Amino acid sequence: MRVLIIEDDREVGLFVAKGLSEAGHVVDRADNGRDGLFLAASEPFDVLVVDRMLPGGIDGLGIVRALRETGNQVPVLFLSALNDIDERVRGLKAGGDDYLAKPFAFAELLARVEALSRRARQTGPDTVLRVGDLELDLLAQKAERAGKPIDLKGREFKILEYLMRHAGQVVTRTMLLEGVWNYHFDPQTNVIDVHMSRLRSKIDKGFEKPLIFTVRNAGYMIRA
Amino acid sequence: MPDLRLPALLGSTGFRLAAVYAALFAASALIVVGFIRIATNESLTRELDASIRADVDSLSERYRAEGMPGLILLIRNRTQGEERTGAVYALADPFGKMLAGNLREWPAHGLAVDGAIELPVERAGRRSVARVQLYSLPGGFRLLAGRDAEERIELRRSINEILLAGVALTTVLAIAGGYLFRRMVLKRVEAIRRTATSIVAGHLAIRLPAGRTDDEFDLLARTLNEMLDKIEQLMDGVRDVANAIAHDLRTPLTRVRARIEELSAGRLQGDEESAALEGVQAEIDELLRTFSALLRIAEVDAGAKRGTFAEIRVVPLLEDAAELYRAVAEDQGVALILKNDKDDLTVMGDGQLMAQAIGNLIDNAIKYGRDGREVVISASKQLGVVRLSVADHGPGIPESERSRVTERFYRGEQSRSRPGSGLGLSLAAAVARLHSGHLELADNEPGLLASIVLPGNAPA
Repeated sequence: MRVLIIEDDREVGLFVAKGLSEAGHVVDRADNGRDGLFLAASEPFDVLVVDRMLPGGIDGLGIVRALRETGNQVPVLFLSALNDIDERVRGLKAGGDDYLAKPFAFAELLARVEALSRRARQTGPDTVLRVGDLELDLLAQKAERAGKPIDLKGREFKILEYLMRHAGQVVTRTMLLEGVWNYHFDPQTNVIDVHMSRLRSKIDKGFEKPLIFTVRNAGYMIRA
Repeated sequence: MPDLRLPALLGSTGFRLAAVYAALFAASALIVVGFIRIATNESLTRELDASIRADVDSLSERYRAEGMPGLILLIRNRTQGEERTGAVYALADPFGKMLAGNLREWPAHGLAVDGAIELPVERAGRRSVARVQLYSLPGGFRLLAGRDAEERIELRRSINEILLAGVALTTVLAIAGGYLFRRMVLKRVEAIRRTATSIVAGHLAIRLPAGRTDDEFDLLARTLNEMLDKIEQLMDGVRDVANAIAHDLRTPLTRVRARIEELSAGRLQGDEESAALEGVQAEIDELLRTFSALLRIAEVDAGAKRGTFAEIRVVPLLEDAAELYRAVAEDQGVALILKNDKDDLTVMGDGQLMAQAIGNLIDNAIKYGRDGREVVISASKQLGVVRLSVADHGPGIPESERSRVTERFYRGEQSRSRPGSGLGLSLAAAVARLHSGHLELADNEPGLLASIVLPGNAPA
């Protein structure tokens, strides 16, 4: 996957670039808005990681607006030191796809970048999601594994759906909190872990091969 | 004392107000006086013209009946003897030779026009001004009849003098009034200015003198005082936060620093090293968490979110929050129970912040009230006041500590050993304040009853 990082802070830019390269992605960097917009407009990327505030006459919001106006729909993850719900809304309104506040854990950034590239590939809504022998019927709101029905409560169904839509990718706790509960704040306690352990016992208990994995220092992943 | 030097005086609003006041006053006096003067003059002129016309009527009657000799005779008759009426007559032949009348000579050489004019005349040995009518008679004879206008001019002069004196007096009064007015306004403004200066100098507790009346200055003083209270409260908040940061953030930072020192000295090996690194990371994550909670509280306290308030349905909000924490509660052996009497309760507010505040209360109740085995979440509306309550049966908070627990970082005696940043209740209180409400902590007998109390559908 080819990722463009537009970030003026050298340290942060290098750190992110190094991490993404180690995860197997091809990374380009720009350290100001003008160069960033030029690169983003002239070459094909799978995901852009864009800082909100940039030197070079055009800031992050401006870059994304300019790209969207020319019909460029490349997924954009905003990075920002402004962690305010209103700022987040402003970023998404300008055409951003996700928003990550500084400081962030690299695992969180990686998970979100990969989730974005996947979202971009998706075409049309699925009605049935499958991971291994686990099947989730979104229309009938039913789950079964190896033909045996699994009884899921409303929120557990949503968590599983979110995981399965990002199958093979790391899903962080904040991604779950945002994607499943639509909460953009820190709930103080490890509430997500408790929900996950319950879901996991329903999905994996009694089966030889587990599907849900804990990714250390990052989050969770479902894969066959 | 007010500054009396000219530039300062001109720059003073009080002076300008007084000057405008005086000018308006004097101008209106002038207009009234001018009107009186014109009106008096006109009515006097009309009176004179009427008496002249009466004279001329009788003269022309005699002329028609008896011709020129009769007219001459009548004029002579009238101008003989004592002068009483101030009447002026003159009859002249075509060469300007006086035939009759009480003027020494024909005064109107060159005046061909018939009509009323004012002429200087010499009569009975003294000069005066008369208002006269000129008539041309057949054969080139000319007749002049009029009235001495000296009286009227005298009257006009004295009216002028009186009026001028009046205007002068009015102007003096206006200036004096303006000065008093200015003194009065300045005194109040000066009091406000002096107080503000002391506040700037650091006496933050001083307040403006606000009288008992409801005039503009008292209202202004009261509003300014409210503003000062708010500023003081915010400054206290900043000071508290600074102190709290000094106390509560330094300790973990010191630990982090110590570990990094150990690591860089190379004293740790293998597992020890990676454990120390993980410990550092965990400490920093915890610090960042605390930090963002602090920022969130500051953001809420700044009140900028009010612009994005929307209608929130209370019951689904509580259900969602309870659902998020229920799993944790059950793991701890605590039952989360939701009770509400009205399904359609709504408040205006920020849904995320409200959920976070309720979440913090539930989190607290689970952490500190777990011995009670039951946490009740409820919503009610009474007398237009909406209460979102979380009640536990734990040890509660002693009354003496209740007012302090919402301070940032404050942690009760029993809770010091438990995990948490000590910011949960502070944030809930800040969110309640943002929504024009407050956080109420009461005894649940036993346990804590924490309620976010909000004014019904209309926060300010």
